Amino acid sequence: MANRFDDQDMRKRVSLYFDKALSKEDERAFLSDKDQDPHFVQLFNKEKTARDFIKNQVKRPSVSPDLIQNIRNICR
Amino acid sequence: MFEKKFCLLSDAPKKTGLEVFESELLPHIDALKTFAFHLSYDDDDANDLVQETYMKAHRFIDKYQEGTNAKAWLFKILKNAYINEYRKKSKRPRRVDFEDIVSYHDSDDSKVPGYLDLREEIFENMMGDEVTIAINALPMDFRTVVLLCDVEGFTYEEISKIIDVPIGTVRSRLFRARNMLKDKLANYANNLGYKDKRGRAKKEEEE
Repeated sequence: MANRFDDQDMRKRVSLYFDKALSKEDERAFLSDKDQDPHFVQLFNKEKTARDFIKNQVKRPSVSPDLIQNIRNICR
Repeated sequence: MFEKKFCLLSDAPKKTGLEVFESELLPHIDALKTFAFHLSYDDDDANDLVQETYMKAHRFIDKYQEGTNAKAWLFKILKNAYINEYRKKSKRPRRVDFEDIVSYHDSDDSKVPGYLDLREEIFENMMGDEVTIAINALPMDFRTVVLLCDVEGFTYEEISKIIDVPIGTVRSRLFRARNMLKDKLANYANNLGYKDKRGRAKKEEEE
């Protein structure tokens, strides 16, 4: 049970870290704790992989030069 | 030397509205287009939304403080424009009643061992289309927070201001939206032949 709690705590801290929701002090503590625990590092790397994948693979349709020019024309 | 530099900075001419528009607002057009596309599902509608956003930003440029968070300001304008436009056209965004799905998504997957193994396999073998499809299948309130946080990198506070809900609501929507996203991506993984280890792990633990 204690291990599972720690695991849950790690996951929560990893999520808060990537959400940029930790204070500077908490972030320092998080990075220090993470580097001391291989399982923590594993959780961190997997979450990073997942987040990077979503961010990089989501469709980003291009902006046409015409749209930019239309906006410039309207806003002059 | 310090005084000389200070004088030079304070003598720097203030940017005109057009200069601010070009240097601080227009550079965010790609991010705005992505957000608009995933709200409207349509490239033309997304272009219209982006154009309307910049028109409004230009109209209210005096309300924008140079050097502040232009991206968040623009996203807020776009989000409001989307809500207003699609209410007018009766294309009501599929809103979710948050409380209705609390019980469905209350389970915390992080309690179950083996969960992350499944996710790693998903991301190693999945094409990018599944991510877009999964995100676009989310109800609008949840899709919005995922787009703002996981795709665009806004903080909870910024998201709270963009969509005008308390920070606590942002956090809980993100938690539930990510659970929904995991479920959808797990379905794709199952279709690819990967077994959901969460059930097996739990069963082994009970035995």
